Amino acid sequence: MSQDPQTSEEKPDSITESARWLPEVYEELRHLAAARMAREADGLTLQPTALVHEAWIKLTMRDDRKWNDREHFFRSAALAMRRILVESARRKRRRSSALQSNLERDEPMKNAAETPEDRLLRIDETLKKLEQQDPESARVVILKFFGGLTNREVAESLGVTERTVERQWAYAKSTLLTMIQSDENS
Amino acid sequence: MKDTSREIEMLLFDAALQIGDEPTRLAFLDQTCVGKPEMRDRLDELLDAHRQSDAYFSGVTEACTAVAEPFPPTPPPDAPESLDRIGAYRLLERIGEGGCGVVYLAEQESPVRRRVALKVIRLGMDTERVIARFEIERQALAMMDHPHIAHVLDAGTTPTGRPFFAMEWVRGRKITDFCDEQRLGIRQRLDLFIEVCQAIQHAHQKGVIHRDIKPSNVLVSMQDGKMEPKVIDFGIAKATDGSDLTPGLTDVGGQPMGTLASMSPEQAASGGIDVDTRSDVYSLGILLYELLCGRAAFDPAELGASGYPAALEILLHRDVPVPSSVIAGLTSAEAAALAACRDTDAAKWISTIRGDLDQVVMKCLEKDRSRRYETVNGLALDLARFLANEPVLARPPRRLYRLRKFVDRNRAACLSTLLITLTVLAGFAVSTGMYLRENAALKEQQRLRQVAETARAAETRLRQQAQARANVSKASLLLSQGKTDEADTALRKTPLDTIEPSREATGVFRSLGDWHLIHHRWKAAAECYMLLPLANQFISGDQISDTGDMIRTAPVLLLAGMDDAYETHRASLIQRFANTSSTNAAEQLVKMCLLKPAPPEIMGQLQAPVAFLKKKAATEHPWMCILIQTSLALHELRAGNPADAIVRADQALVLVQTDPMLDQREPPGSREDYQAFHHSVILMACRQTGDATRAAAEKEAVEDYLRNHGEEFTKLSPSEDTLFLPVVERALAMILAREALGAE
Repeated sequence: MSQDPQTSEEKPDSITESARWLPEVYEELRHLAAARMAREADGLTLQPTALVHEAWIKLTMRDDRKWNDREHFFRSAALAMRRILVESARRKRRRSSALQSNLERDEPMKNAAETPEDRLLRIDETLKKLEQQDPESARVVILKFFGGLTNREVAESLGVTERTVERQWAYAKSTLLTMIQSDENS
Repeated sequence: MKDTSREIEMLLFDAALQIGDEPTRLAFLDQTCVGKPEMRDRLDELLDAHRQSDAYFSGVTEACTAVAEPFPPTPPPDAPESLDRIGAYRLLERIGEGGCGVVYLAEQESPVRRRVALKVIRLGMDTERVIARFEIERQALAMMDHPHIAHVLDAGTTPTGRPFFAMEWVRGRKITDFCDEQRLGIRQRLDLFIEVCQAIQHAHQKGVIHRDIKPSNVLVSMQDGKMEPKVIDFGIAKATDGSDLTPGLTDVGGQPMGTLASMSPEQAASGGIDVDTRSDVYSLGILLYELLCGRAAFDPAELGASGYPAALEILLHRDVPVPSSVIAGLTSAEAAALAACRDTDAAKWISTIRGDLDQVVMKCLEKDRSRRYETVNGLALDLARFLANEPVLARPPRRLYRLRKFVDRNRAACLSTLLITLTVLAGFAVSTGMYLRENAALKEQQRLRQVAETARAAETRLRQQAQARANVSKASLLLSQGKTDEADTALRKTPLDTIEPSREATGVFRSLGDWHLIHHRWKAAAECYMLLPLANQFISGDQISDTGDMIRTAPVLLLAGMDDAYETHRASLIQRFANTSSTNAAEQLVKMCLLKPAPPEIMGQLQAPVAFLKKKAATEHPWMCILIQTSLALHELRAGNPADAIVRADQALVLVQTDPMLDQREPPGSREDYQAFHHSVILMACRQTGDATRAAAEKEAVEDYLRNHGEEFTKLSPSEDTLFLPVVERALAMILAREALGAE
């Protein structure tokens, strides 16, 4: 199996390696997100996929040599999207908790309906644990959930088949959800 | 231990997910987890989580980035567009309504004034994603430039937030209607269809898959008395597939089920994700089916009435009746009417379709895409063969294949039996591992790891094969464009032995081998050629000699210094062709086997073909006589009959000197090659007979030849694709000349 291009040690590195490009991709994505929010105050949503693709097109046009590697870009974009989403969710939660009365503030909102921000942060927290236990599944979550990439794009980014991605994503989602549920119950 | 158990957990989880029906899945879990309650609990927990996970994870990131309101103002699905303009387009007329939206005729006012077809997408398809996807696709779409492809010009958003596409405005009729109205005969229909294939092939070469080929997306008009087909909607299916296929299909009153009727099983099953060019081949087959026999392969009304899961089941598992049998099943009135639309009568109609055309259509409609035509071009070529009355490549399926069809039809039963058997074994291994954990854990772990590794190895292999198949297609495409080095690079990325034998693969190996041969990379050429016998299992024995494959391998192996491989190759040639009744094959067999001196055993095995050739020598045409005499002269030399060898070689030299075919050879030089071959034979024979005078003269001739032509290989221009024959002729002469001079 030595000729297998994706040996088990290689994959984790590919995503850490992508982190090297993170600042630049991150800047571009944040810039885009901010611009979009200002322009589209009528309530349209920002979609990670759309942002990531748009950032890719922009960066490619700006410097076509560096960003030829689309797979590589998508990996770093997914990492950046995770940061942007988590930051923005934290900001939002701070804002809304500031609005709450003093009495309620220290009480965790156990029975209140979970907002998307709560859920996103909880996923992010649990993902940190999953990264320790099962880095492979965690990687797929970053690319699919935070990066909003399609199975094909994930497959290209990781050098595996789409079928493998589909399988890993199903497993990763379920595992992550069981971890979240057991945290809730404990 | 942790990794392995996780891997096994994942395998079992995945296996359980693959089992569609609940009772089988429970039986599977029961069997697998006998005596292992904690594993059963874990799997139940995971499967349970799986059911909730889509709802839990989807929409979260989008909701978190929503700015003002949590939800976008979704337009009511069927609200009529009361607008008279969208962006730069002035709407003129509503001209149609398709599965995914409304089509308007519109006038673009800037930057150029022209009429366009504006397709406004229905549903709450997420605009952002559709547009973003379109942007990604746009470069590819812009590269397409074909008279039979209607361009997609622009994409944007209506004020109410729906995505729209602006397309070249095509006046024309749906291809099936057009053919019936114009009463086109079968041959005319095929001509038209081949033009459509060429358009799709063009798109494939630019990396664009249509994904939604159906009669209403192929419009035909008459222009200056000529039929002009146009394929429309390129790239739109891809752009709009971001939203999940399934809900849309059930939502819209059965309309898109018409699209489903043209959709390949893999496209329907994967929600449009797992799609390659062979999916378009399938859809073209559906189109051809209807053009030929006047009935849709799958009845859109039936699919529409079935609901999505049942429709999918039909697409995946129901075998379509062959077109001619559909015609046979028509009432005589129906048959007469449909035949009249084809400018023929019912009897002639059915006899035209039956046989070859049936096979061509059914090859497109194979559920397993690896059994379809690899490329649209392959389909078009086969139809061209039919029109030229040549045999088509599509062949009736063999018995083994029927058995596989049986397994496919009863997949659920076969699969679950297999899975249960396998996982009972795996489950046993796991539980044993647990019991022995305390004292013999290490050993057991290794075994488990092996189980997992075997599974992984199988998957790797499958993946490599898929990759290899893609690379072969790519290589074949590049070859057809004359980009041989790129083809070689494409193919080098995969281990050659993972490539499954197919006609296309054979063609690629042969061309690449020839290319290496012409550039004197003997070893690389040999590697390509050695895969030919494997691929040639598709060709019946005697036909192989016509392809030239028999004379490619042996000389290259010797020039590459791969003598062991030559011996193996020689043995397999004898085994396969010793009893041939083809002059061509016999002549090539004898020559190839005797390029080196052969042991008595081989000389014995060659008795029959040699006797056959001697009988044939007088009756064949002059060129074949040269080839036969060449083989026989070499045989006499190797058999220890130098005097006879000299006689035959001398005869051959006379024939070579006067043969008019050799005068016309381009590039010139083949005559010298044949002469050198025979001078070498005579030289070696004279040494045996002790004729020193003649030997000296022959030696001079051979040395002369090597001096003048030895380095001349490279002068043979590599662009000529028929060049392999001159190169092989030269290679044969070189091998013999070197042996003759080296033997001193």
